[in-house]
Formats: sequence, structure tokens, C-alpha cells
Amino acid sequence: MSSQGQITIPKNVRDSMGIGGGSEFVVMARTESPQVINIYPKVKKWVDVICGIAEGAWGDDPQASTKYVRSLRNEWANRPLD
Amino acid sequence: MNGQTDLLTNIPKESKVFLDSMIFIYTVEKNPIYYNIAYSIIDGMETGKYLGYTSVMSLIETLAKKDLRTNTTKYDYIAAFFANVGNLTVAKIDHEIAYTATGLRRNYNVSVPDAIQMATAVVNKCDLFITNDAVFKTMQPVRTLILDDIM
Repeated sequence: MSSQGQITIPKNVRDSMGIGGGSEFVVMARTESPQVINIYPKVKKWVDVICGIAEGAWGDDPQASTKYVRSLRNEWANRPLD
Repeated sequence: MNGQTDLLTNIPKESKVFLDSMIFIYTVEKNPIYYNIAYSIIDGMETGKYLGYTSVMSLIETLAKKDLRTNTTKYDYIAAFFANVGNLTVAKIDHEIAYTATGLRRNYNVSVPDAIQMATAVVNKCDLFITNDAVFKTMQPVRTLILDDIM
């Protein structure tokens, strides 16, 4: 990294991803361990990036994710109002 | 077409729409029942048909799933989505939302996360609250759309 915080993306990566001068990016940092800096090419539609990215994570039951959210919220609701 | 479906298809431009956690979860898991409608809701927001709002609570509930916590690539992409998708405000839980949630919790006897979600919609003056949790049928300071009611 340069003293001005600039980094160079290797040519083989630029070529394989079709990026060059004027390309725009999104930089995301994960500060907890393991620390990671992710550089994403600017995305036209973020919804297309995430759709199906976690397919199966909630299991085969189509209602499982709905029940999962309810169970998380019920963790807070196990006692009546004071 | 019933009234609830009308509510979704005729959202006025620049309306403020609160999206509950499951809208994002159905999209990332490509839920066999709800994926198409969840995708269209987020797509409509991203393409500027309306302004989306959600709470950091939705971010927690989406990312807390164990499979995502242990797969940093998927986790990071979803985190990047919440940080960068157009027309979505991910609201922090500030004092005003906390005080409003306190009142909702007291008046409707709902869980704290339910109260925070609805309080976020109230404080941000949302026109519509989209969820798939029937709990919100009893708590409608903001007009509420339950996905199962239009399926």
C-alpha cells in the first residue's frame, strides 16, 4: 500500500474481471477476527447478488425461515410484562 | 385480486415501505414459496419504485444463521448488500425508536424485537409495513401487509 493508502490490483485480476481505469468499487471491511477487506466491483443490482446465495441454509421446509425469525423474537418474550 | 395484493402492486412512488427480516431471508435462501414475491419487493425498492426501510434488527436476524456465520463469503456479500443496495435505509436503534418501541411493547404485549421493528417504521413515517408474521396483525400503527394473506 502506498503512503496515500492506494493499492494496485494485479493485472491478471484486472484482466480476468474486465476492470480498468474508471471502474468503480465498493470496499467493505470486516473488523472482527478474521479481519478481511473485500473489494466488490460496483454492482448494478444488489438483489441479484444475494438471491439464492444462502439456498438451503434454513433447511428444506419452506416455513422454516419464518419460524426461525419467530423463534429469535420469542427469545425476548418468555416472560410477561412487569 | 384482493385488497392486500392491491396494496403491494399499487405502492405509490416514493412511498416509504418497511421491510421485515423475512423479506431478505426469503430472497437469500430462495424460498420455494415466497422467493418470487420477496425478490420483487426488493427489486422494486432497488429500482426506485419506493423507499425501503428496515432496522439493524433485520440485519442481525438475517446474518445470525449459523450457516452464514461460518461461511464468511456469503456473510460478507449479504453484509455488503445491506450496506450498499440502493434506496434502503437500515435504521439504527436510537433513543426515539427505543421510546416508541417501549410504548408498543407495553400497549400490545409483543416481544422487544417486534416492537423495535414496528417502532422503526413509525419513527421513519413509513406508509406500509411488509412482513410475514401474523403477530403484526394485532399491532398496526402502520398499515401492514402479511405475505401469506396475498399468496
